Amino acid sequence: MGDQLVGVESPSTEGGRKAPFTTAFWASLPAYLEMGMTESAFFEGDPALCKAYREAWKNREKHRVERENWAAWLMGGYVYTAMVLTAPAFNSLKPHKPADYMKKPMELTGISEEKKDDSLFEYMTAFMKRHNKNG
Amino acid sequence: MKKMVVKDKYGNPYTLEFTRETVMQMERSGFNIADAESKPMSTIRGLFEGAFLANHKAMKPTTIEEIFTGLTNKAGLFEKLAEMYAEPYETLMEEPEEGNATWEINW
Repeated sequence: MGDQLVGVESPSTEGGRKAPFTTAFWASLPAYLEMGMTESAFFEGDPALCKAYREAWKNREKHRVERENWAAWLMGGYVYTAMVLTAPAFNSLKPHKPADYMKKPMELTGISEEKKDDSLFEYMTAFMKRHNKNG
Repeated sequence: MKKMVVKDKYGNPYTLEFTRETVMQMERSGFNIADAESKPMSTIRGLFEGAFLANHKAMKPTTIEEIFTGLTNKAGLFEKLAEMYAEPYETLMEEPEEGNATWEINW
């Protein structure tokens, strides 16, 4: 059945003749479909559109990696905070009750990229000061 | 997109260009750009006819032939048409941002 669905048109030859461009187009089509290009845009549209789709794809990938990196960094921040909060419980000489975890997520919206680093640092510094005062 | 405008003897303009679809149509009908060396005249004719498919599909072959016959500098025409024909393929390939290899011609 799969053979009936694909291979309607042999990509490497057309009626037994060599069709090098047709082969290349069909070979490239899946990549461009993945980039969001429609089949009609690929075959009937301006050929140079492919360049724009590639560029857009590169930008999207770059932003995706940046977002993932930021999310991983943020996760690290939460883990770090949790470790600091529970640290008193692991004091073998004078164990303390671990501090409560944050009541709500860290405020991230409205913070500029430059300030993102500072916000966690400020939070941690404030926490340390509070903790040291109590202890 | 690379385009070419040709005018018939009455001054009617025709925009010639290639899309991937029209290139495939040409290959389906037996056109192969690699034949340019062995069959230059039929190749240039095929290229010229194929260039009408994108925007002037309903053109009569006799009208196309008439325009073709009236054109001068066929070598220059072939060069430009071949460039246009290659565009749908070339745009699939990534251009190196800073190439360190070079090429030159000696004819």
